[in-house]
Amino acid sequence: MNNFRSKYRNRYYLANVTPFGTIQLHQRNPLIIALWSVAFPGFGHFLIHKFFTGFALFFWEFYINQLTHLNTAIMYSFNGNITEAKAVLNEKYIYLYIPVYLFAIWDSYRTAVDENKLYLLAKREHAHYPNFSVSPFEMNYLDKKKPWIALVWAMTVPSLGQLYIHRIISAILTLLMTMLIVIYSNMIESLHYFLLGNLSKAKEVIGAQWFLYFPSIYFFGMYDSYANAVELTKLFDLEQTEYLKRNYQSPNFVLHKGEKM
Amino acid sequence: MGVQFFSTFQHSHYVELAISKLKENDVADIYAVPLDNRTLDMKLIDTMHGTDGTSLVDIGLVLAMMGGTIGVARGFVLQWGPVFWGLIGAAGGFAIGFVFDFIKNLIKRKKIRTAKTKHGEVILIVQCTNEQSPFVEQTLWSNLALGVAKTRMQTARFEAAAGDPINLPPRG
Repeated sequence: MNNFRSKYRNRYYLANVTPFGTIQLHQRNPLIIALWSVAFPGFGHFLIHKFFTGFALFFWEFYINQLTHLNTAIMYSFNGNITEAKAVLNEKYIYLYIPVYLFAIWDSYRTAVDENKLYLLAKREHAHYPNFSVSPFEMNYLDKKKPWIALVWAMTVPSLGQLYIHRIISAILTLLMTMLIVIYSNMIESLHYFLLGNLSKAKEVIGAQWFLYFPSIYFFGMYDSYANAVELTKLFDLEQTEYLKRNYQSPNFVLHKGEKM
Repeated sequence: MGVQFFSTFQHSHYVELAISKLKENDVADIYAVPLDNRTLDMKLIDTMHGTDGTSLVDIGLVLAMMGGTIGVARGFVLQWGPVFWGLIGAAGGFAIGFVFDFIKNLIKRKKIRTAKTKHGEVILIVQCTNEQSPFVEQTLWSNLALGVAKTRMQTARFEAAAGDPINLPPRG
């Protein structure tokens, strides 16, 4: 794929099977991508396979959020406690938040639109792409993945669904964030008291600033693994279709009539 | 005389396993036709040019009859009289039945569209000699073929190509 002079070099490729995951172009609704960026900057970029951009935006939002106590302010605002919300926000950094947040939404939308065009070009070009990758780090291959299995694993501990479909990079991020949230928000402890019926204690131990990260991480893990499991399965079918058409449709093959035995 | 197999598969590694095993055992006349998935919805409302076996009026008409009868009967007591209540009962019964059938067909239609993966996605045609045929059949089945049909090849070309001109059947 990296030999630019070869006559076998194509212009656009539909997919690439790498040790860290299968990267593929597929059609996406740009609005959905933008909405995931609204949920958490970086998520939209992960979905369109721009992992480094996604990481930069994700950790930037995470850092500013921690500095300014934005999640705590959101919690107070939704409860109508405006004075507390004003008091807790750090005015030194909060203005930094707005432009980068809007950039993440705009940029993921724009890129999703572009990638949809590239998808059409790549699909029309029928270029060969690897269906298999062996390396010292990982083994990866195209295969059918069951979306429901990915979803159920993602619902247990975030990142397992992504590991099932071999999306290592977003699995690492999801696992890391889940662990940080579990450590600093005491959410498992809170769940424990909740299950025991001790609601006041459950409310007391949980920390809003950290726990408010959890819903977006949790549901993103589910969406990422489910949606990509569907697309990987479609990619497998498509790749196999093209392979069979290339190799097993000889013009010399003659079909014979005959009664069924 | 040779044998020709028609088989259907779902897309999976088994298709490639079957093909590679056949090739390993000198069965090289293989032709594959990947099918496109069903994307068209079934039509809900029948047109003049075609029906598709779904009907939205079956239960509607039965309920219209029942609603009409009850409407007429109750109409003798109610203010608007038997004619109006009969019509209202019939229309109401038909509407309930129609909505029921409509929803039922929507669900069924969705099932038909989403159940496509259960059906064949690849047609594999394999030609071989009579001696190879049990092996080919077993290979196709053991690699999860959804269906296999075995047909007798009546034309002579295959034997000629296989280099066995002695057993050529006379051409008629």
